[in-house]
Amino acid sequence: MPKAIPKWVQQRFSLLWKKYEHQDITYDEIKKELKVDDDNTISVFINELKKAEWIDVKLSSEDSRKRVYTLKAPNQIYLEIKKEKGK
Amino acid sequence: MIIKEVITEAVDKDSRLVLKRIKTSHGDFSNRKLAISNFMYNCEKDRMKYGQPLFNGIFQTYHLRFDKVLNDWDYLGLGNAKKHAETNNRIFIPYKPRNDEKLSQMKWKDSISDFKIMVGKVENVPFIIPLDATLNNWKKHRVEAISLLSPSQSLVPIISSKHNVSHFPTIIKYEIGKSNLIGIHSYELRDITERTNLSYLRAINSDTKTGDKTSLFVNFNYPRILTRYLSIAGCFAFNCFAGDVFSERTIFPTGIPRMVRNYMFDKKPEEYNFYDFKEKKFNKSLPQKEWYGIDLTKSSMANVSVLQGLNGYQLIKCISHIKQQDDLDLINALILNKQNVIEHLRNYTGWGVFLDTIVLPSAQTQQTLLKF
Repeated sequence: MPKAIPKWVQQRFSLLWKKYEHQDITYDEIKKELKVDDDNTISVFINELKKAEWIDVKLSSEDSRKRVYTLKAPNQIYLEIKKEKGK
Repeated sequence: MIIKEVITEAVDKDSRLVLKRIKTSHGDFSNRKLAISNFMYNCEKDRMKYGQPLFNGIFQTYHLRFDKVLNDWDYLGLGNAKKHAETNNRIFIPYKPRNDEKLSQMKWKDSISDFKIMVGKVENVPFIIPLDATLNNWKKHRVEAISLLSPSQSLVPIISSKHNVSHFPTIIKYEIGKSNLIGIHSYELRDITERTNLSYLRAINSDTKTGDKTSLFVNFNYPRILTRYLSIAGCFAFNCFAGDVFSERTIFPTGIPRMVRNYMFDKKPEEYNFYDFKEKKFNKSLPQKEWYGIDLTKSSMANVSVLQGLNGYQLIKCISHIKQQDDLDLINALILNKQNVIEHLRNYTGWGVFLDTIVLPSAQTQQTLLKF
């Protein structure tokens, strides 16, 4: 069940969503898109999204050492969170 | 200004951050205060020429410079700094920064002789506890130190965060509540000894209950910006490890080679680190422009009156100082209003990444630490 995420993660997720809606995205693409040099920040960002179930992670079909991420639709996530809160 | 006592006001159960009430001769204050350091004191003097008000701060520290040529501490500015602090109702704490080598060479006789010199100069008298001191040693020397003080003076024990791990917690447990001010010689949160000792400190500090008599932990000599941890403010990092008063590292211009000094002061505003109060970390103009679409550093500078008597570098540091204090006050307000402190802190990039990178011990681990 998806959970709420910190505001700074939400802001950056929205930025990625605008460009990578229903598309796969790699670590390097996230780094480039968010214009962040610091690996710690990107790791924490991805980890927050994984923990909160806002992204799906799978291994790259081209290079099994790498991971690719798929962003989940925010509308769907909000609905699920709302539904869970209503229980 | 004199501290009468320090009381625990509230302990946040998840973040283990503590709100303290400082009862002074001039009213009550809360903890998490940036001290007016050497740099800010100099800025304040420049601003006063233009009739500008003082910075908001009840603590003023003065880091003494070691004169390598004379092989002695330079006490020249101490008297004026003390007078400035007293005139403006501040608590004045002097500090002698020592590097690892000097600190490891310090023995009890050095600490005592240093203490005796300072007894003749200030009211809050620092006493450096040697790195390998045990609690029993400290108790013995503490009695001796107290006997040298006049009734108006207070002892300020200063212990290094790289103190022997076996003795650090026992000394802190003994000292908390006895001295109003306890100095912590701080580093960059890189060393395992430092991190272990600070975790003990955090556990002991947050084990106090509302209404208990406690102490203020004064972090000395920490780096203003923790470049290793996403350039977050040193005061925030050490606040997570029980810090109450923050006196950042002083860079003495006389010790810097001329070329480096020229490079430092020839920089343009966009090359200086500015405290980004939205992201809660330091950054420069370029990433600000990329993220916000505006240059936060320059736009903040534009809002300040030209009649401040400060140069660009001083102005950037002063604005950063004020913004950092605002954020420390925000943490106090969160604890006081019983809000979810951790959840709130995690909403900001700098604070959020730091809390996730530096794994702070859970409440359960804290209890384990206290058993040792």
